Amino acid sequence: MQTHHLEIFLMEYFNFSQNWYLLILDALLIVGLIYFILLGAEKRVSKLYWLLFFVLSFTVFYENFGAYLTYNSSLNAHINAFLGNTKNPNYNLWLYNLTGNVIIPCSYMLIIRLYVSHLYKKLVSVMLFSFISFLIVFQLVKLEPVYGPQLIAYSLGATLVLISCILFFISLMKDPVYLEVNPLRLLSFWQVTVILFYYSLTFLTNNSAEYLWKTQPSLAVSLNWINVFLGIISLMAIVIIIAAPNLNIKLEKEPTYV
Amino acid sequence: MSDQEGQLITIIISGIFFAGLMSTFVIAIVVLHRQRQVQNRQKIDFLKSEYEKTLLNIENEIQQETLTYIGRELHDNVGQLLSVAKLNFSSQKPGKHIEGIEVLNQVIHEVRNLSKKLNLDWVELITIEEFLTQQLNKIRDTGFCETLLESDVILEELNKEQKLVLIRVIQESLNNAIKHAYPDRIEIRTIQQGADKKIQIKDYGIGFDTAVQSTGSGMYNLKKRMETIGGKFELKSEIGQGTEINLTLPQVNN
Repeated sequence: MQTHHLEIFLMEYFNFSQNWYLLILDALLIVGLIYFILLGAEKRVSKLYWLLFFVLSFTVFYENFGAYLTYNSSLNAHINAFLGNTKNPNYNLWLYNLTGNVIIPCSYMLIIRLYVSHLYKKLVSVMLFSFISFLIVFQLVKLEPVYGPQLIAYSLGATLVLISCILFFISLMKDPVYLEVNPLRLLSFWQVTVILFYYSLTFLTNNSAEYLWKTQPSLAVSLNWINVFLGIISLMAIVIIIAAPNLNIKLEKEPTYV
Repeated sequence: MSDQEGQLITIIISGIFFAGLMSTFVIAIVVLHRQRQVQNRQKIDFLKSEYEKTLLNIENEIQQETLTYIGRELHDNVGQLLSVAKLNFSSQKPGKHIEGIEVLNQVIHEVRNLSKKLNLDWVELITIEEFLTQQLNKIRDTGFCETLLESDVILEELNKEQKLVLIRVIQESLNNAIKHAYPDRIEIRTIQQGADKKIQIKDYGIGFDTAVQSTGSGMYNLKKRMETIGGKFELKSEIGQGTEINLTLPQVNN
């Protein structure tokens, strides 16, 4: 039975007109993987490059897995039942709640933590720790079940990522080390800018998604394009950062890499 | 126009507006960053010129003091020796001529020593510990007061400019103690506090009330001079309790 789902999934998977989003993500992962392997020994041990590669590969994984779950509804139903959802066994929101709302914001905060000045590193760590603690308590008291829309968890994660971005820009303005460099030649600047754009532009659309899917599904579909395009752009930014050491781009040395 | 098209246009317009807002924010950050960069460069230039001015002043002061010292030595020491040599050579006794030659050799030796003082290369040749010992020996030899030097840590070698400033601050601190505090004892300690290495100069003199505003700028200048080399100057004093000066040395980057 499982093999049958996989066969259908794979048969339809490579139809670019239907699955262009996933195929673009896969292409980005392949390019990212090649450049990650080509990284020098010094960069390969850097936490930053591992985190960037993790975000890239993990995003591609869960987006593909999410798509696969729409084909393998029995597996999805099993997982939903395990999480306590027997009412809507076709929902795959649990996957996006755990990944896009928890793991990815945490990873972005860890990446930004590497960019900010020493003064703010502690603050980002505190925010990260508070966020994870909050999520644990949040799940224990079952305020928003993991298989349904988790607006509070998403809003909190996105807000903390946005605060981390602001801390980066404050570092840029205040840290004497950052004052010696041209920000336009810093990859960290462009990446944080993309993260800022992604989370600020998708904040309202994601928060209103549940309401819109119920009342105006066509509008919700249209709004989802913002997520799709910005998601691709943010992964492209990651691929460019991983590839940058092997490309002939004139860049400045990042001041506070750990 | 269908409902969906209308909604799509609204989304596109609001998306463009919001993206424009974010772009404005990022551009504003870049512009502000540039402005701060310019301000920062101006501040660094100002500090550099202040540092150079301080160094020039210190070099002038040290040279002035050296000239005074050389003048005194030429008059009191070399002059006297040359007079003795003249007397010896004027004598008819052959033994006196040999004594005269010995005195002349002594004069040559004294003049060589004095010539070494004329440039500031001695600063590079002497360690801070040696300088402290020399200064305290000089005070003790005059019979002005008792002195003590205790070295708990080895002080790292500073660059010539930093050492010059530090030497001048130490000299000034000791001069102030001698001139104004009338101490019966002066103690200098080199100590380590956390990551900082310090030179502590303590005099058991009359002390003064630090709350009373001083009319001179001596202490302020010493503080500023220590700051220009990345160090610190702290002063504690009480009437009747003497004065303690702590000079925190600049961190040496290895």
